[in-house]
Amino acid sequence: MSGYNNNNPPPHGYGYGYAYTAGSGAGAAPPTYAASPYGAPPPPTASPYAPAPSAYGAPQPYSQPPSRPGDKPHKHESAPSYHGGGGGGGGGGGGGGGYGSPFAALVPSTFPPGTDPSVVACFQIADQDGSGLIDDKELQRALSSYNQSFSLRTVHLLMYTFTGTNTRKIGPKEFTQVFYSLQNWRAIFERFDRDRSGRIDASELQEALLSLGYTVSPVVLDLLVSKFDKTGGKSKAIEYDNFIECCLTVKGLTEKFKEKDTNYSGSANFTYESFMLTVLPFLIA
Amino acid sequence: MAGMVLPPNASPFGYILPGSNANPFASLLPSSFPPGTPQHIIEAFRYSDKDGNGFIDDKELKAVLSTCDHGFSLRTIHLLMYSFTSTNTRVIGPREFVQLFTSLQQWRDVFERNDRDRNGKIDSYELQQTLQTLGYPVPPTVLNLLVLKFDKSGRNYALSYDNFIECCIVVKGLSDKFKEKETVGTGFATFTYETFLLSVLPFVVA
Repeated sequence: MSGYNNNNPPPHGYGYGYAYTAGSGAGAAPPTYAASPYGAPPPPTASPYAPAPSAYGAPQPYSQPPSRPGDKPHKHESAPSYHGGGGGGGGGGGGGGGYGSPFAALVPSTFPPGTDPSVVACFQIADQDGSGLIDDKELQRALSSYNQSFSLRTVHLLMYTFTGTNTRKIGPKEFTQVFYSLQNWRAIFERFDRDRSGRIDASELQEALLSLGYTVSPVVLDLLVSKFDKTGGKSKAIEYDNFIECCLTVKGLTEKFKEKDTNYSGSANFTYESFMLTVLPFLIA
Repeated sequence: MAGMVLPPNASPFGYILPGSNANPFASLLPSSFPPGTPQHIIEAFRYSDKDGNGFIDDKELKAVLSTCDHGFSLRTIHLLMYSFTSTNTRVIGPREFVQLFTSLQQWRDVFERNDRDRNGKIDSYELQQTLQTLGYPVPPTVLNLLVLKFDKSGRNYALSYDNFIECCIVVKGLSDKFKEKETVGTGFATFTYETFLLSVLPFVVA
């Protein structure tokens, strides 16, 4: 059953664990918090849903370039690690995420002040038709250049994560977010691909998801690996672009689930409508 | 049922009485043609089973459906198989084939009946009517999303026949999962985190 936390059986009624990794999280076993649904509410810092500093829409990870931006997906041990639920995904589920102002989403998409010029240059190279916007095919082309094929499904999921809509175009602001999040994903992938096989297997995936704050059971892990394995289940491991898709999907679905699990009990109630509306956006055809 | 007090019905699907799905052991019996299966379906199965092993795999199913004007991707075939077996197996036996075949026929009939102007497309209003007829009371918000997802032409206002079938497969699959977890007559389904992921992932990731 899902919800196991490092051999500590969860208290009755608690559906899933949430491993909180503060800051670097390199190698150290993350402390796990199994909040009891009964009795006093957990203190805010121990709550599994407490946002990590620099996660869930806090401006820092997205408006400042990492210390050594360089080119796109390259291994950067010095890159800051955005862990504890903020991950490499959108700030708390897409939308205008990442900026404090609630009106941020209404302002035309531009490069935030202080954006690294190499990001701007990447954008301009990717924007082949010069429209000022990058569509899904342009993004796919740009991402596929490093001996790495990038599926259109992953591109669509990325776009959905950073815009909260089904649009197939992104502007400079979202592109910047995608850029940094991809660097982050690359770092995570390389960190957890321990045997350097170029693919992540079920146990490596478990650790990767744990570092992002998601505890999933072995059954779900097997399902994820079998579904995302390009060889149709033979290699039992997933490649880089599918790894991103996998993490984004788990992250997205978990966030949606948590929205409905207002008691932190590990169970959520859905109406037919809310169920369909939650799930369908993830069906990237 | 005499003496049983049913709660006020809030379910969009009507009453779902526990145990209303006949024999709970049905899935343990070897897959065979139910009594009374029309001959043409049996023949279609035999025709599709090219290697004669008594099962139809995903490639065989894709091939036979293409001959009936269904140009489905392998991904859609897998989704179809999943809907009718609830497993990730890539083969189906006679029983599942009959269910699948019958559903496809039913969907086709409903499509043709609702495509009044015979342009080979169903718009979102007709889609709502169609899904309602098939037993899926899909609300308008969800309909818009369905047309957005399944109208591959990108214009997002109507579904062609193949897209409609894909849409039906997904709606059926997700609705069945919802119904499994729905508390009788309330309109609410309760999922734990794990069952939520296990129910939804096969559709999201097919």
